[in-house]
Amino acid sequence: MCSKLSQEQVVDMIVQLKDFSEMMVDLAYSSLIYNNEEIADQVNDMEEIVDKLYTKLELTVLRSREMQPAEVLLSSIRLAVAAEQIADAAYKLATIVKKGAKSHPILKLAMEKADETIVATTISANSILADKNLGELGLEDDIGMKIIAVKRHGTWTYNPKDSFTLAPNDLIIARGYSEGRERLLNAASPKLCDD
Amino acid sequence: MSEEEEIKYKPISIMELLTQMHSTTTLMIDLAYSAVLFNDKDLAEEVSELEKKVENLKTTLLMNTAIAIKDAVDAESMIGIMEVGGAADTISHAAADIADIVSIGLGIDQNILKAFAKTQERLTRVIIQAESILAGKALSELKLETNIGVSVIAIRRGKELVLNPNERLLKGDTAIARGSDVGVVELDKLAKGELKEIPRPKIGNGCVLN
Repeated sequence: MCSKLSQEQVVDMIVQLKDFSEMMVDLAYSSLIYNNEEIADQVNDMEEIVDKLYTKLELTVLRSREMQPAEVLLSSIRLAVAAEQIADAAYKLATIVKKGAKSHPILKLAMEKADETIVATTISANSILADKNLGELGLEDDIGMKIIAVKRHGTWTYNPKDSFTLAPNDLIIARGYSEGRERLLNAASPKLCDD
Repeated sequence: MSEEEEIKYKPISIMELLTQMHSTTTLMIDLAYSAVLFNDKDLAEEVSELEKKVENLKTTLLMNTAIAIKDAVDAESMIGIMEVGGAADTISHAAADIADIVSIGLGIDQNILKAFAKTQERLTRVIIQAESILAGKALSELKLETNIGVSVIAIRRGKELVLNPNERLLKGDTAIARGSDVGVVELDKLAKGELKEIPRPKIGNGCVLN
């Protein structure tokens, strides 16, 4: 195997594992708060991808053992193990929903009290968010809200890209801080001006 | 090695415990990856401290749920909460393992660090310069989370490290933050004094005409 290629693969896989595991935690908490089995299913699917990715990474690292010091190879494996454990924790959270355990109302309240929180809302017809893509809106930069999932006509899109265009009736789940959350809710369903 | 803390019941609400566990583990993941990215042993040390805190929170949570459960119906409604406590604890240990890579000085492939610095949501480290408009202002009034989508997770001031800070930023402070790719660039310019005004959010203002 070409050494440079395998090294690039390792880097790529570690970044993927990191992103996947963090996204899974957000989605798992979302599924729990909103008692949503579909999101829980998505977390399950992602767990399978993570498991495969993790095995592939371990093998690639072991195969490239002559190219780098053992310490550096070990740190790559440890980063991957940690991401895999985080993904596993997310999977366990999602499993609670799959088993039909009703989410305790305290859980939702506790999440709402945290500085950083998850919120779900529907885009109304007169929303300024409708018919714009996420890149144009720049919600993350503008109000610190990151959209983690969108449901349209019964289908979910997870971690939507910048080119994704929001439409009326889309259900969005986003993560962010309290004031940003209020702004997002107001933008999704604008208040009418009193005249 | 510090002695294990004695297991003792504390009267604190289950909701408060869950909030604290969630906030702490979220912070730990960010701190752990920051420790790796900036090869910072102090940050790594903080993650280990927080790991102990989360463990204590989990024990207290389990005791509180045990007290709250009177019958099978209670048990069924509480199982989710106990699982959440367990999951948060797992995440906390994983974060500590990431931090350990730095503590024991294993060394990380430079290409991984470069790739981490380029993800969509990223970690950054800035020094507050004297000419920065951030100097002398409290994070609670700057509201960087909502204004530029950046959350300051720690401040280093001399030898002191403040986690989840709310206080004033001072000249010479190093702020460690997480944010969007655009947000961290704005933070950098604000810290250097190149940007003299904090961008205000455009979305979610006011009302619409009928």
